Amino acid sequence: MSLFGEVVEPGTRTAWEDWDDAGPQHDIPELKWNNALEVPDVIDLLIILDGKYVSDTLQLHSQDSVELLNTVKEASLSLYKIKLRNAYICILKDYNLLLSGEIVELLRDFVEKSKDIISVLKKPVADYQTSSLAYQPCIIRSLTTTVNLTNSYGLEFPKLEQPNILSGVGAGVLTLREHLSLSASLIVYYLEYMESSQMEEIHGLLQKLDISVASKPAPSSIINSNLYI
Amino acid sequence: MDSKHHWKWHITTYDLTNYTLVVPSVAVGNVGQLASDLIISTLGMEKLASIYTPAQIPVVGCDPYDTFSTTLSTSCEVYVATSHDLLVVQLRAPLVQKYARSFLENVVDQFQQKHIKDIIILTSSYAHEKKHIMTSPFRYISTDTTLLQEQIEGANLTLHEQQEEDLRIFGGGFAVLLFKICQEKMLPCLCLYKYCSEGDNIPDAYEMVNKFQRLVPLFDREKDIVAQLIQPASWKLLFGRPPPQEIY
Repeated sequence: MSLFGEVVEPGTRTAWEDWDDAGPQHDIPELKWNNALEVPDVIDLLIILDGKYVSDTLQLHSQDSVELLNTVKEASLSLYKIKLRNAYICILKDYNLLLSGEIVELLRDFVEKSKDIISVLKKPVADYQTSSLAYQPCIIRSLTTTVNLTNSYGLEFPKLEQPNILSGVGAGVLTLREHLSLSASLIVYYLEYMESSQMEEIHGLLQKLDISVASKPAPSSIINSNLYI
Repeated sequence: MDSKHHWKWHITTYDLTNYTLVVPSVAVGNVGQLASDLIISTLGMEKLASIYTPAQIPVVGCDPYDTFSTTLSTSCEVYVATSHDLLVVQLRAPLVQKYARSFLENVVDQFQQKHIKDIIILTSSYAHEKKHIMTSPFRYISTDTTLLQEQIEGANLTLHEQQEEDLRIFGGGFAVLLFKICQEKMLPCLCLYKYCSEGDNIPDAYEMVNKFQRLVPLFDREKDIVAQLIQPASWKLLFGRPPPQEIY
């Protein structure tokens, strides 16, 4: 609830910097890998799990099939190598949207050298814009580059319709790949319950790559609620 | 940093000599961007190029001007209307300040190399910054070299009132930065802005196009301009989807 006279800026403005404030305020941190990183000449597949809700749902617990290669603390980024395959998984938790371009640049070697890239994003179903009156608790859509994936891994979904748009690292990677005439796909799950682990298709993809995923059960919202305090 | 701005030209055959480049600044109410959308949609402009840059928050979707298209559309795209010698750089996300100068210089350099004649920046400023309430909501600033002096006088435009030593348009985003870059690079530039508030800014966009038409005639002067303008497909559901039926 806003107070009378209070200036309430729409949600879309939250990513804005203050252009009116005098003086330099470029406080975006320089992103650096925690350790030295060697990037192979060719990578078969890069999977990007973009955002807190995806990374919370698909937790890569300690296992033999993946190895944590590197991290970037400022971007909550963890890069894993799938041991028996020439494939990598990049997990991004909470990050500042203004850092999206910087993160894509940080991943640029991987973005340029991967044969295929699949990014996954989760958004609340209320963000899905449609004139349809039918209610669906889970809507899966995708955006792909003009160049098709060499292997779609069975992840074929309807195109995301206008006027819906996606932003963030996954969107940046898709844009860069399109500009490089390389293949990539960005899959978005619009879900009623963001904590839901309803992502069977992505579970299936990871299992095909011999990765076991811990599905976190949906937490009780009562715990987070002020109602019972 | 320049090497990180990646241009993809979709059409390379056009000679852009003497074209006018329109650049909307991401500003209060997004009036410049909405006005650019109207111009692109109404003139049926072709996509000339798209730009990948870390200076912008990445955004992707399908073509906003064609509901049935599955072509990708990204944060920054350049459109061309050869019939009017007009270019529009449409921006769909804010610039990141840290890299803004490098990106804007790159855009100006690219088009200066193609011998465009001038740049027009469309932007907006906070309504509460307007000091003389009975005057027109439009203001302009221009370089000394502007080619539009006659049209500015014809349109009765009011000059920007500079309160401080340094040029500033509050709420106007990167407009002043781009204007200064044009000055440095000796490229004629006009910056047109409208005082407005956040909300439904579609009427502001129509007024902006109407004012722009006085400077650069694009549409039939004999007919009502509002009736001629075509809203892009992406404007549907601008204020959200219909309420779910389950609530009734």
